[in-house]
Formats: sequence, structure tokens, C-alpha cells
Amino acid sequence: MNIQYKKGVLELCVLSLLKQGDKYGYELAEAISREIPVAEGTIYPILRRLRNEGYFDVYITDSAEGPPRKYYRLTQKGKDSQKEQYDEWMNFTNQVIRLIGGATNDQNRVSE
Amino acid sequence: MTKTEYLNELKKNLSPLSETERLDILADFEEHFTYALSNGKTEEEICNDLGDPKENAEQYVNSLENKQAEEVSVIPVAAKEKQNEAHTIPNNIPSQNSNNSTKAALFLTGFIIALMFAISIYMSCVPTAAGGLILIVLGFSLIPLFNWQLVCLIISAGALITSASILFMLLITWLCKYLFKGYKKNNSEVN
Repeated sequence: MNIQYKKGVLELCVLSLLKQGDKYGYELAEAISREIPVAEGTIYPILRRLRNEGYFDVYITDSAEGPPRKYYRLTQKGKDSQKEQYDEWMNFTNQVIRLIGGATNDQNRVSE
Repeated sequence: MTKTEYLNELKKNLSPLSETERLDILADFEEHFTYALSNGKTEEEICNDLGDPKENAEQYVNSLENKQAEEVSVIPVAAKEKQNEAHTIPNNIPSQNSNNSTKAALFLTGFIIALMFAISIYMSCVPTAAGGLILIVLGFSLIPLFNWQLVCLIISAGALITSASILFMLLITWLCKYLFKGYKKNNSEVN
């Protein structure tokens, strides 16, 4: 798959996973690489950049096994950005699908 | 590739970053290795899943460069402050909004002070330049009365004062141009 496709959408994936609940870095890397064939190492620079931009808070908790875990928690800014990017993505993919002649997200949703 | 080799390669390519940042990034990857190992993966597999260490390091360095390019433009003080904040406590990241408004307030204060300076320098330069001109005229009108050394002295002093104050005013005008440029840019960035 085209690497450029993936790069653009990874940020939305990270934000959306964190919207479901706080997660630590490894959890995010695993969750994403399970669905999308992507080098797991590319997740960490994204996490760092989004954190520096104020989309996440970070807190450390001790875990029973292994090292202390660095958890990421979405801030309000992160939540807003997730919503915005989600809408953009949905619109964009619908437009592309109409152009290339497939079933749009909306149609899929109805048929589900 | 082993874990140590991978981390070394990563570290080597992270050299443009600060020591604190580099250690923090390496800690993230070490954590990844620890969890992946406890999930039963081998070091070799983990390195493959992580992807090229050089490319991963480049992503950090690139985003640093973008950030610097954005921030250097306006006021280095605010940029430095922001960087320091980012370095200190990860839990305590100020929201972008408050950050932006402090930055804007800081810039506005600096802008007003600089403008006041410019205006006061202008106001003092105009009479100085005029004084210098008067001195030149005076020097010429005194030619028939005094000896030539004194006349030369008065004329050259007048010329010096005039040209110095005019140069100074030009310099301030030139600086003001940049000041306004920065102001405009800052405004468009905040909004």
C-alpha cells in the first residue's frame, strides 16, 4: 500500500484510539499495526509531535509487570481535532469513492 | 539486528536533538522492546516491526525542523520559552490557546515598547538634524568674520551631526519595517 496514504491517516487513527480510552505507546503501536501494515516505529514520532502540540497529556503509572507505563490522555484540543479530522476523512473518502466508483461509507453504514 | 544495535542506530541519527529529548525518545523505544519481548517476540522480529531506525529518527528530526522554522520567525524569546516548557514536565502541557494568547500579549508589549522607542528617537533626531544644519549655515555665514580653522570646525561639526542623525533615523525606519512585518506575521499566526 502507498506509504503516503498511511502517513496522512495515522494521526487520525491515534487520536481515535485514544478517544476510546487512555493508552500507552506500545498498545497504540500494536493496535494500529494489527489493522494497517505499518512500521510500528512510525507511531512514536507521531505521538511525540501531537503531545508537543498539546493534543495529549501524559501520565506515568507503575505496572505489575514490566516498566512503568507512559499513558496518553486526549485533551479537549485533541478531542476537537479528532472530530474535525474524522469529518474531513469521511467527506474525503466519500468523494474519492464516488469518483472511483465504489460503495460510499454512508451506503455501507445503511447496509450494515 | 539486536535491540542494542537498533537503539544505537536510532541514537546516532537523533544527534540534532537535545540530550533530554533524545533520552526520552530512546526510553519510548526501550519500553516498546520490553513489552514486545514479554509478548514473546524476538529482538529480530521487533526490529523488523519497528522499521528502519534511520527513517524513524528522521521523522523526529524533521518535525523539530518544521517547528523551528515556524517559531524562529517571530520572537525567539517566546519560542525558547515554549521549547523549555516542552522539555520540563510531560504531564503539564499548556493548552495551545493560552500559549498563543501569552505569546500574543508578550509580542504586543514588546511591539509597543519598540514603537515608543522609535518615536522618541525620531523626535530627538529631528531637532538634532536641524541643529546641525543651522550650524553649517552659521559656519558659512561666519566665513568673513573668523579665521578659516574655526569656520571649518563649525561646518564639519554641523555636517557630522546632521548626517549622523539622518542615518540614525534611516536605521530606525528600516528596523520599523521589520517590526511591522513581524507584527503582521504574528497576527496572522495567532488568528
